[in-house]
Amino acid sequence: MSTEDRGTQDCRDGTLADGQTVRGLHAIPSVQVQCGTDVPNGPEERGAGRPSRPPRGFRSYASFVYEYMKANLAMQMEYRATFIGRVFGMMLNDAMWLSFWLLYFARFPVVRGWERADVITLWAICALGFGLCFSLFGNISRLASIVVRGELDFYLTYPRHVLLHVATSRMDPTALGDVAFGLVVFFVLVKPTVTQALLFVLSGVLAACIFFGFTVVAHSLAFVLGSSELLSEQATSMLIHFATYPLGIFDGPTKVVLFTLIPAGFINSIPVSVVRGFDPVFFAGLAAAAVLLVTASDRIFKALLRKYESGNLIQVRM
Amino acid sequence: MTEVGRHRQGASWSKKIAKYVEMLRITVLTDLAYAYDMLSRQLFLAVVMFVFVKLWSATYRWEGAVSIGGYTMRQMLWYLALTESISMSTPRTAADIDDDVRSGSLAYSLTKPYKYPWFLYAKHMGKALVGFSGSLIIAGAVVWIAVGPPPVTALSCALGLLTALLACTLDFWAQVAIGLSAFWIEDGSPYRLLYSRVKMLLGGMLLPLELFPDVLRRVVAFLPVGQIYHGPVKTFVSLSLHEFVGTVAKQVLWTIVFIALAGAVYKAGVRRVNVHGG
Amino acid sequence: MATAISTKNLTKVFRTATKEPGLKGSIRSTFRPSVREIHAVKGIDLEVERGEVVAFIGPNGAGKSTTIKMLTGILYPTSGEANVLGFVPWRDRESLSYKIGSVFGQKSQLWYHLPPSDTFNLLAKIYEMDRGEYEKRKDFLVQAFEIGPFFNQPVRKLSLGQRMRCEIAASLLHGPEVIFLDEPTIGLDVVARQNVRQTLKRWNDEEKATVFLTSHDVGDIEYLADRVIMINHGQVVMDDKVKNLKYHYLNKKIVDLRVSGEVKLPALEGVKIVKQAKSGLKLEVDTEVIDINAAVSHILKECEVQDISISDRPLEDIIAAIYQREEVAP
Repeated sequence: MSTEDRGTQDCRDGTLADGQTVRGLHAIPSVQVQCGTDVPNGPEERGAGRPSRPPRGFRSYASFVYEYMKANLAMQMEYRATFIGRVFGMMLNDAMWLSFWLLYFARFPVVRGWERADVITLWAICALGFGLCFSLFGNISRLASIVVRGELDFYLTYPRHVLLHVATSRMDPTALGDVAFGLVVFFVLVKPTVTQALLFVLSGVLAACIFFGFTVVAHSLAFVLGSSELLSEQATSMLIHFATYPLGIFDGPTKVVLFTLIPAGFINSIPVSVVRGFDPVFFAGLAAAAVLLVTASDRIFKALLRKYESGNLIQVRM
Repeated sequence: MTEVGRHRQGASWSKKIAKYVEMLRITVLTDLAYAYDMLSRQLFLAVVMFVFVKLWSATYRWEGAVSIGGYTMRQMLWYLALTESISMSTPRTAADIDDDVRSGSLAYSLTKPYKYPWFLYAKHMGKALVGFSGSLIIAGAVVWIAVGPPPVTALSCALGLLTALLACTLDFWAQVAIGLSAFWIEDGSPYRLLYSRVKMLLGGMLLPLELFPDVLRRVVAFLPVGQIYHGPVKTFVSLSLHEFVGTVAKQVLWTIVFIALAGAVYKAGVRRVNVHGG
Repeated sequence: MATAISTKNLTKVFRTATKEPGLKGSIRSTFRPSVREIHAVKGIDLEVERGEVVAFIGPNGAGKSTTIKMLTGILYPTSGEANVLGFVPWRDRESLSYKIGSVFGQKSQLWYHLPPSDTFNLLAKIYEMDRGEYEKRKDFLVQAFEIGPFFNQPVRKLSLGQRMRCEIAASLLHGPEVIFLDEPTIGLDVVARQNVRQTLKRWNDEEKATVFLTSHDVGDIEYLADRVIMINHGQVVMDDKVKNLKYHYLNKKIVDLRVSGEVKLPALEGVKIVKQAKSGLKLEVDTEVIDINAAVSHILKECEVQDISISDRPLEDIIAAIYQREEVAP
């Protein structure tokens, strides 16, 4: 999980000299065809009485996301060597940060009550959460630029939940490296009990929700501010950066910020509960923050969508 | 046919060097044209430094120590501000070379009367200069507010700058060797990533070598990665002439090794242009 | 006149390892690589006089750019000899580089974010020019290529045609004796293309440099070149004066017509109907037999024309025609 390198990597493979996007969402026309032909089988359209109500059910959406995942992965596999290189590259990157902490704890066994296992768990949770979020919904890290360039038009023509559709249209291959790293590190270095393992996975999923919600909200600023790409990207980077340091090192005022504006505190307060003893308060906090952020992101995105100005570029994609 | 075309073979040394100086100047100009863009991109460095301030304040307080590994807190944080600034502003020359090899630009540069690696060197130094100044303004501001002015003297600055230039040169030639591997390797990005991460971790970007376990510290202190961050930055914040001389000697030694390596790869690679064609 | 470029039996064979698909294939080809030989250039003999403007044409993959790369010293030949201005290009690359200039298609040497003037300064340093000689030369080129108005604007703000003029002027800065122009008008619109051609012509009427030009545009060749060398499959298939080429192949114009009502075109010498549809007509006019103006005014008189366009035969057609002739001829 790196904040500084991810941006440049994307930049390298995603854009041509003139800033014209070549890969990513437009490069997968076959997928769009698949998704458009979903069988409507959600519960909502029953009894609605309208002849062709768009499919909205959970199962329908699950298969929609699943199809996109398959297609995204298939696309990545077209460049297998590159894909594998990226996955391992990210694991290497994460390993470097973890090694820093291992070196640190070799010198200072305890800091503010935090021990080696706590920080390993923290990194594992962040990596898992970040990885899950961006391998499933890799496109949200480009949401602001999609809004600014008017590329949302494409998604608005489909009878689908716009945010979900945008989000699933692209996967970040490096994020799979994060997932792998999180799992390997936790299970190999922490050697968890069954309960610990379950709590770990649960924390990872909830952290993913926080990453998702926060990123979407940060990028939705583009509807209001215009070109907010840099600000939005840096907001997400900030969340990740704070989340990967022990909560204990921060003082009171910073903690207030970390439980409000940059909700990293919900994530970096959890490891102790996972490894040393379940604390319902922290978990309730994490779960509440996750639910709240995901709901809020959906609402905010929808509300601000009204301000969407489309693009001046006429782009018709078939 | 004009008058301009003749002679040149016997042109003076100053003219030979002037072209690389001009390259450096023009790189600085280009990068300065986008200074605002660059600064806002590097703003994140403020967050990084803020977190470091918190981490090390907590560490020093918890340990109850004035000095850890020979560093006071002020030295430690300025050390990190400098290493982070270097890291943030290191030009991605290996990736540029990779592009040049794959796009064929390297082949075209052969029709121009300059040496491709030295041309890149001028560019590398120009970029590093502008980038480093920008980064240091941001990182330095945060640390200054937290722990006060940098613990440097005029002498440590002068000598620090010298080793920093040598460090940048060493890093450049290592990157050339890696970048030119594009002649043979399908995707060079994992190797570049490996190099940069090993450099960061073992080079002492996040943690001074003095805090490493003893055996590791001894090994790294000799390796090239130990000369890129730790060598120059230590000179800035806590000058010891003995260490300075050692650093410079190792930097020069490793630079020569990498120039030789890069030269060999370049020769083999340029021959490879013939095999690939265009 | 002295010779500027000469080659004898110049040959280039590329050897590429072919990789089988999949992981197994990668492993296998690592240990037992199967090598494929591509004969890009097969024994080319060339002789270009100083001051000549030669168009070097051929279909894609014919070996054009491989030949140019050998002549500029980028590539070593597999065998054969070459001499450019008294130098062996691949051996004396650096010495030669002061005396040649090159514009390689869309490979820009201008710095995108800076004005052309900055690139010019850099090039002056690269070619080790004296201040005075540089200023004089720059002034001449800025005027000849009419790039003064935007010489101090960042390159990214220039149109493609303006950029190409700067690009060519930049490559002439050091006063090269031979200049290689690889597709100088590619991607330009009709007006810009004409403009680039005219400036090139004007410049060369003054400087009389040797120009080695490749282009897919018949207009470029017709307007600029004295002589045409065509290669295909790595061999020279034709080497002739443009005048002769014009006589044989460039004498035909294509006229596309959209007409309303009945098409009744009486037979006219030198005008051949290539294709006829309900309201469209495609004619080939032999300008050796009938003047294009005469032909068109005749057509306009006879038909109710809604739309008309006149164009050259595409180079591919001409090449195909030449190639067929070369194969048929003993």
